[in-house]
Amino acid sequence: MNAAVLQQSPLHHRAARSGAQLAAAGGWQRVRVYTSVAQEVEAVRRGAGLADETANGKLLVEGREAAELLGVDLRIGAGASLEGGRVYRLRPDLFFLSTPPGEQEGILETLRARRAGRFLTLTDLTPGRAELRLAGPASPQVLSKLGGLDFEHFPDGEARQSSLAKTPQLILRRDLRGAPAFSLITARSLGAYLWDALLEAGREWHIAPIGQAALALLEDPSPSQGGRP
Amino acid sequence: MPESGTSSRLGPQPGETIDRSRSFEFSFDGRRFSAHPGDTIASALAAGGARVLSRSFKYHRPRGLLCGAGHCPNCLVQAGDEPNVRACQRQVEAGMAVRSQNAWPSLDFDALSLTQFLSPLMPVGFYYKTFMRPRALWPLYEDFLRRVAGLGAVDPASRPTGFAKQFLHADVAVVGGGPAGISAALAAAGEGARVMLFDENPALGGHLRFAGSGGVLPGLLRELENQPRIQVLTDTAVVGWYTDHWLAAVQGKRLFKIRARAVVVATGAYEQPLLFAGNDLPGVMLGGAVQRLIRLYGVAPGRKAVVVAADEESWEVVAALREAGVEVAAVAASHPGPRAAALEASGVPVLHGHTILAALGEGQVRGAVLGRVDERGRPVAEKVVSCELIALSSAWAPAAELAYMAGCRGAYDAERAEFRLEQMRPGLYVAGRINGMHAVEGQLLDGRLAGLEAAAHLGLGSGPAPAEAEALRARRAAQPRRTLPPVQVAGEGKQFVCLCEDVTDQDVETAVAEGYDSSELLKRYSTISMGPCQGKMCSMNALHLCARARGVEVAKAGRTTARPPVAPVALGALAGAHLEPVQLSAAHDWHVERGARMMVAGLWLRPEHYGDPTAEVEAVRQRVGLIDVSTLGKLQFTGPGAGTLLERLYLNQWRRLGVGRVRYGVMGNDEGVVIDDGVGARLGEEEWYVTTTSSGAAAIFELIQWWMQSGWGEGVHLAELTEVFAAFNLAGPQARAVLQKLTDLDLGNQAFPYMQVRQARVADIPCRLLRIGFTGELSYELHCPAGYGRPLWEALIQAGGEFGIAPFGLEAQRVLRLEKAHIIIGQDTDATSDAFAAGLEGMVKLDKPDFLGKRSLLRVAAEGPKQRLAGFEMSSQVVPEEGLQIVERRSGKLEIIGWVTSSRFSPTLKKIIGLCWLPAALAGRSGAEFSIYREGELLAARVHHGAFYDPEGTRLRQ
Repeated sequence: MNAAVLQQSPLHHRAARSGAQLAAAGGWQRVRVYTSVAQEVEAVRRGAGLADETANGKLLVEGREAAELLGVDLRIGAGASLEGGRVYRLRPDLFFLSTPPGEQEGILETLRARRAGRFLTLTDLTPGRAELRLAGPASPQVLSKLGGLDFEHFPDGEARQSSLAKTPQLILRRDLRGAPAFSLITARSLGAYLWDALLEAGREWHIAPIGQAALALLEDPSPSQGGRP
Repeated sequence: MPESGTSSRLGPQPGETIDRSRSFEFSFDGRRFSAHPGDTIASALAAGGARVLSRSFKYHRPRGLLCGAGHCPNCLVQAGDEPNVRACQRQVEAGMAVRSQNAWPSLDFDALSLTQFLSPLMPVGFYYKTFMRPRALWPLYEDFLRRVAGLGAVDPASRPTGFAKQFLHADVAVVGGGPAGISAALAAAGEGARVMLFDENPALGGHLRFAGSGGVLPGLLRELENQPRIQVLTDTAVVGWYTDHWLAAVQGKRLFKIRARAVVVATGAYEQPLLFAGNDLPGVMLGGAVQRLIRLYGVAPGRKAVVVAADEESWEVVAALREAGVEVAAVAASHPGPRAAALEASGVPVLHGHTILAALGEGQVRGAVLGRVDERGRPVAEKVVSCELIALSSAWAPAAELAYMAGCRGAYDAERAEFRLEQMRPGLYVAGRINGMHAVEGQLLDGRLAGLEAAAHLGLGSGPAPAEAEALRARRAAQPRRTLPPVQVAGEGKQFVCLCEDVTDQDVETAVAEGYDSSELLKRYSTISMGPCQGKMCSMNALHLCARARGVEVAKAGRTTARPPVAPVALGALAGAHLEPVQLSAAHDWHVERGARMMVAGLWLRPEHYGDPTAEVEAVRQRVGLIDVSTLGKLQFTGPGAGTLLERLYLNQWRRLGVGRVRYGVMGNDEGVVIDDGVGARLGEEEWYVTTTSSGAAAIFELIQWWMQSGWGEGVHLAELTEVFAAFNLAGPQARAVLQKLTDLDLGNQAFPYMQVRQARVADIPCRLLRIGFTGELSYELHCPAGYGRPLWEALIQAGGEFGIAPFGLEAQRVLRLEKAHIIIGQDTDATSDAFAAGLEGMVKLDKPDFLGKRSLLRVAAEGPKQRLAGFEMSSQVVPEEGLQIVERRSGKLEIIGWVTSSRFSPTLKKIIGLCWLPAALAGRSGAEFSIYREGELLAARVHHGAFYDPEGTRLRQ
């Protein structure tokens, strides 16, 4: 991965202008802290926090033999740990892989090597999708203002494709230790719009932007959840 | 009328909702009133002695508090900039400016109340009969009617905020938080169901909050608190039932959409007014309003009262009045209850077998005429009692709208004078007073059984035990009969059936006589039940009147259809929060920081220009410019079948294109009409990267997916990469020099010629470089992963600094492409423009096996197009607007022969150029003259063939 130039999320310049602390990860610039780690952790514990995780790796594996290649047996919507990331089945022949920043390229290489004669399409969607993580006890309610899924009973570790705030989204439930959390994956160009819509919907629960430092403190490191360091 | 200050406030009441330790002021029509936290607007006004709250819709008659439950139109007021606020439901706030509605110049003296003396001239159907002719006068009528017949006034300047929508999910939704609803919620939750309990009032309890039987309420509330599976939503009115138990509910500015698996409707019943002369006078109140004022707000509803009693609960009203120290001057009791004797013994005059025949008074109640109804239904007046309050506690209509919406049928039970609900939908249950249970014990049992049944419907628990079901049947059978029909008095004075629209008993009889004799026709003609109460106060009485006028039983008169919303909903709540998706490119913030004027293009915001589009054109022609084209659709086709699929989708050849080469592609539909264009680059033997137009990106992707799923997808995978890549076009004679500063790739004309593609690092960023030229200059379109979008843009701008680079927007691009006579699909073409007519015949390869539009294009090729797209130039000073018509004088008349699709002043060529549709013969003659019609003038133009600028295309190949 190139060290000189870093990729930027659609929210990067706003964050940089507002004085957020930045840090590099996997070839991307990410926000470490917006205000203070303590305040951000507190916002999540009390209500809701919103993190920009656009840097996470995002791969699509498509083809009739995709399940065989990935070596997983999942029903639609279910997820499983894979290669340090997590794989979700979106359709019988379509899988989505979420990886820590920068790790998607290695996984892509591994899968290409393993593909042999199978007719499969592997697409790195990473720069084309914004990924926002909404965390905290109020997050199901915040989302219920923008979409019709039953977010309270959305199983942890699973994926759903649905409309949220009038836009198509891939929604992953990835709880933090003791707090529900959702990853919202949408077109990169809609990232700023979705960020604003979530902050507005979450205002009544005192939602706050949170950086990677607060998220790391809150994150469940259990590998069974496909968790991140 | 007592002035504010002479308070009707009583001493503290058990169960009251007000906080007497604090008080504040608000105003009503400019007068100051005092209130406590917890007061409604109406209770505070009643405490301050205001009895008239509004003027009626048609006759502008004074109206006062009637139902106290948010159902009738009488207390609708304007609160600040919000119209039609129900004063009996809305909590009053400090400093609130409340105004009466529908009164001019004032509530006390309303000039338009004179209309009531014209009422003989305003029969039912008055509007239909009077204002239809002459039609030409309707605008005048409309203006006047809108002024006098409106309800509240909307302030167009106000910008209310805070509206939102929210989705909720529940196993069982219980609508109505009275004893039956609470009991149902507890029973269903006890079986393991997730329950949501809705009540439109600020607190749960229903009539237990203010009626004498409230002793069980604290215990029920404690049980609710200890049941974590129940979520309570108060101040929330469920306003509609839709298929699959989907409910709509409103809580202030929020609209809830509730997906429930089962529904218990425990909405109770609407207390009904009676029909008698003067029944709309301020001071005539329903029993529930009397009880609420006294018990919830500690306000005496008057000093001297007459009570019209028809059932057991009526005695609760009498008891409440006596506890509040109100003198009960008489009780007209049509139905003797066990408590009557006790009251009589304590000195209350009870007139057995009596009812009310008329209310006396001007502007407010001063007395009541009481009497009997003889065997033939005729009234016999017997006694006049002086009073200032007439409390009606006599009849109920089930609040069954939601059940009706769900498809239940209402069967009229003549013995109990009420509707009984039948034909329950699976998963829908009714309980409590809506189900004919009028005593608390029965309501609790009915609710419990409904809750158990709802849980059992979801597979939780085994439903009600047989013994409980039997007990409920016994209670139902023991429900008392009701004998009091609506009373009609032959004689003077209006009896209002419908308070919202001022419809009288006479109006109903007239309408039926005129032939509007079914309930649905009567409703539309008389407007009964079409006002703010939506039939809650009038449907039952109208039905009885209609049945009587037709001489049929009530059961045969037919009910009107129940439709959402059950309760009023602010339009803002239906609209919800402002959510307008907008797509922004990776370099968006840069454009905005540089002062770009942004324009809407689909969901995208794109720079139109950065201040001076003409200078931007010159920069591209003379130096170098950079435009953000990230919005282009980007598709990647992979697999052995990719070439074949592209050949089928596009009009042109693809398979023979060599690896590393780029080609312009045009897509047609079945009719051969051009629908999209773009460039395709062959990245590998089985890998193609194709762009589509920005506006067509989503639709073309869907269309291709459709064809792939319909048999053309064999051996090919399609990845939609529109968002993955940012794309910038670097154009101008200095483009190579700028780019060469940033990359090791040999950009020489031999190494990287026109219409080829390369993959290389630019500014250390991985890029796909397409050498193409929409602008007509040497140009490179750079596609990079979108996360690098802004860094790449900034690197190019910085590298171009020494060459005088300028960012350019869509306006400059439109001029540049027009100078090259390049078409924009959708602007220069429309839904009838085939490829030949659009001048793209060079693209159509009719010798290919099959492709979209081939059959149609074979026909066009044989016949030749009738119209053709052509270039034109003018020496006029006026740029003809796009869309102007091209005309020809034929036998003295101007006929339309074409139209202008694109036109600009070309700063490069210093003349006006454009594209237009012309008859094929005319279009074929270079230099032929024609006329463009503009504001009555004919502007001369000449046909021009080929590009206006650099027709040989040497600049983009250099």
